[in-house]
Amino acid sequence: MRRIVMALVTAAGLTAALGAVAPAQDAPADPVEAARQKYLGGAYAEGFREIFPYARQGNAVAQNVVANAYFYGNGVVQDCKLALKWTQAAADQGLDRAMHNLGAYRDLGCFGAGLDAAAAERWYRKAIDAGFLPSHARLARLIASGRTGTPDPAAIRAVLDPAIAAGDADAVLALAELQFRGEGVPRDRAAAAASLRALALHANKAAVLLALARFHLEGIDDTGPDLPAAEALLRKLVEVRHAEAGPDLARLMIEGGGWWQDRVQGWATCTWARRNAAPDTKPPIDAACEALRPLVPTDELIRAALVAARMK
Amino acid sequence: MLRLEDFPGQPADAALARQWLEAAAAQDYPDAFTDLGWQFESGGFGAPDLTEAVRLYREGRRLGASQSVLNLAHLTRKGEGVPEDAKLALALYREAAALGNVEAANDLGSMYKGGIGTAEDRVTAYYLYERAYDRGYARAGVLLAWMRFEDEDAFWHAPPYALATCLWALDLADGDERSALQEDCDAMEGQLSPEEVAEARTIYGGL
Repeated sequence: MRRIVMALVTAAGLTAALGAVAPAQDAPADPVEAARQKYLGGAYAEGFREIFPYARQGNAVAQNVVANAYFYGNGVVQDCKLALKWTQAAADQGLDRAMHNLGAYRDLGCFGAGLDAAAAERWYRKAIDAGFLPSHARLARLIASGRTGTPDPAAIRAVLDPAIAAGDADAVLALAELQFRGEGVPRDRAAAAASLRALALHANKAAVLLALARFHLEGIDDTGPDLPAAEALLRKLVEVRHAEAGPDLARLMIEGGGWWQDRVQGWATCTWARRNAAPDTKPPIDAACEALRPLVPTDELIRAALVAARMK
Repeated sequence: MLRLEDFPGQPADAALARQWLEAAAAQDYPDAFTDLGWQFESGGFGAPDLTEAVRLYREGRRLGASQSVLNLAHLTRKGEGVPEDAKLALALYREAAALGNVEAANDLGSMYKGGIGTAEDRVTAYYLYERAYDRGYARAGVLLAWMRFEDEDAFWHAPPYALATCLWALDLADGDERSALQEDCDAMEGQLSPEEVAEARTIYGGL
């Protein structure tokens, strides 16, 4: 099939937490900025080497890049403790995205370690006060999860509405997902689907498409689930290498219910997703895949391992 | 679906066709019910008999023939032979698509695009078309091309790329289908500037 694969934005978290990538033509005079652009451009080891001395000297932007490198293991050996140390150093200096990252570290953990909901809320709120938009959606989800106490719908809307008004797609997505599940806010599937569809039409973002696919798996209106539609969306997401969609597609293929039933390919898809997961998404992907393991006979698990080994 | 004129060099013989189809149906061969139903629906055996067509499609559906389910979905959507029921039609398109019928998956996309039996959802329609096209269904490629051409408010709006998509889809088709789809691509080309057409040709040839 000859066609351009329209790339979906999958690395939203990375760019949001590090700031924007500058256009390539005007090389920044600031050495910290130059090193940061190298790092963001994928030259991790080189960028890290150049920026590390500035982090040692106390430059907050440099410290935040060093923290990111340790968190994801980009250009260095992955190390949660060092990631936390450098994030904390940058956040203590008041860098908005470092405060957000520290909140995220306490909220989502580093490979499941370091969770502290109260600290997460505190740092998200500091980032919000500093005007950092992506923290709104994260904080709303944290409150809705009930990990900071009984969720209050008004408090959740108070966090989300300013970001939605400012045009933040993550906040629209968060409200739609919470409304769909009735988590922390009143359940309203029609409103959730309508705002998500409008968002998905304009924003080519993998997280939005994955939410829509999950809506189809559950059933958006009284017509019930739409597995063929979910399959089409999830297949697209795996095609553009969005690892978080892996367990959803794997479950569909393993449980069956249509022509796509294939337990070997399903488990291979899960294995691929775990291998390609970023540290902050790995624990939920692992858990979702492990829940599927009992549904796959042992000989098919082995065959799936061989298939997965050939998947990039 | 069987069409009685589909066998060049053989004189069409509706009575003989019916005899063989009924023999196959008597052995519960699923697609025989689809083909018999289609002859009753399209009038291959004399005057169309939609009631009998529906009965045969239901029998085919019971045996797992996806094309029977799809034909039943069309009739239910149009209200021919059965009461018009958009929601039931939607469920039948889903059922046929889940059985692996790629045309049904494409038509399910059209239900979402038109907001028939469910709320309008162009995003789901777009990816259903794209998936059906990836699975080799040429018409889905043309419908996908039209969305890329017309949906100015969507992120996939790209007219030259739309024409290139249409031309690729055309390569998948042959015969009558190809000439029908050719008209779509020609109509699209007619609405583009010469520069855009040239760009589309470059994209088409370059991949």
